Amino acid sequence: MRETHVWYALELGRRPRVRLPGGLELRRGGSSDGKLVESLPTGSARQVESRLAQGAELWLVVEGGRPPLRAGCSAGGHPWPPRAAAG
Amino acid sequence: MLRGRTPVAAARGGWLSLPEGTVCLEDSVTSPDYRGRGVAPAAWSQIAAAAAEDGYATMVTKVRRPTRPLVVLSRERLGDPLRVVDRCDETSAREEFVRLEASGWKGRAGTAIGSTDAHRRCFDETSAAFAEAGRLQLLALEGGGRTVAMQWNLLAADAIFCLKVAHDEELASCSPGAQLEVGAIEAFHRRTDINWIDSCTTPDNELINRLWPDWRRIASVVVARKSLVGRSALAGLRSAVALRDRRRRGASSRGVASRLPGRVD
Repeated sequence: MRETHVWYALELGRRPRVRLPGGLELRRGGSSDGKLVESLPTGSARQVESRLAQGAELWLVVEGGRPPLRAGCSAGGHPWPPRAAAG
Repeated sequence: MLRGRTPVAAARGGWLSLPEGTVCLEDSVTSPDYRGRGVAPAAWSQIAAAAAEDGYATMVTKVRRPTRPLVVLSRERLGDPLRVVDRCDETSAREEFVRLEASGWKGRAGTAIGSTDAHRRCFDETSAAFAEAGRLQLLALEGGGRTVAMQWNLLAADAIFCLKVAHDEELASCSPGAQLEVGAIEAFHRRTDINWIDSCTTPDNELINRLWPDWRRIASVVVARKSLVGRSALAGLRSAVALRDRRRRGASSRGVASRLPGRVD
């Protein structure tokens, strides 16, 4: 793998909370959100279900029936290929 | 969000244990329709707040960068470690930028700054004025007494606009321009007076899309005067934009211009 992976750490503490643009809402996702996840460029309902079953935590930003963003996913008992954001 | 441990290829079993009180934001994907509206930073901020409310003290995340082939190159061919320096105050560096750019494909195509007297004058005068105001950034990737890539940037308020980049084509196989882009990111994070950078490239620039996670939305606003000429010009412009959009859709349907980069925002 010809890549360098860099870790960043954020001390949580008391930090200002950035507001989402109007009409958008952040919420925790669940197994019923597979279709929403699949409407984004990456991710599948099957993957979401699998990770949720492993103790994952899914976050979604929603606007009506549309998901502008998904974030997160959590640990479980089975390793999967490493992920990292570009940049 | 990962609690307790996180997947890492190099770790035993593919998982890395996280320190106590630490969560990991593994990935984040924004719909292309919503990019450039600050959705991701706001969502991350609120996810971090939720983690803090759950008693976590630290959130970690991991990003990937291309491996740096020039590190190998610097040992084998340049003899020195490579470094990125800002030569904004050196007039000779501006000359060097013009020479470097003209030595490549832009020079052969006649589109380099040095190819046209007017462009050269504009570059010199702009550089001098912005340097005097402390708002010029002229980054150079150097090693072994050789400059392998340069980036000409202008600063405005709390932003950097990356206007021109040039590299030594003899080393093109080692991606010197890409390595300088990485150095520019590091230079950006060292500054506390700058909050954002505009790459000034097209939305489908694959290199920039891999290096920079965020987008911003740009709109063109046309204000027509309340006159016959103004209304006619506006109508003509609308027709031209509609024609352009139709052509783009046509190109898109042929799979030419619609390749949206797979990226994290």
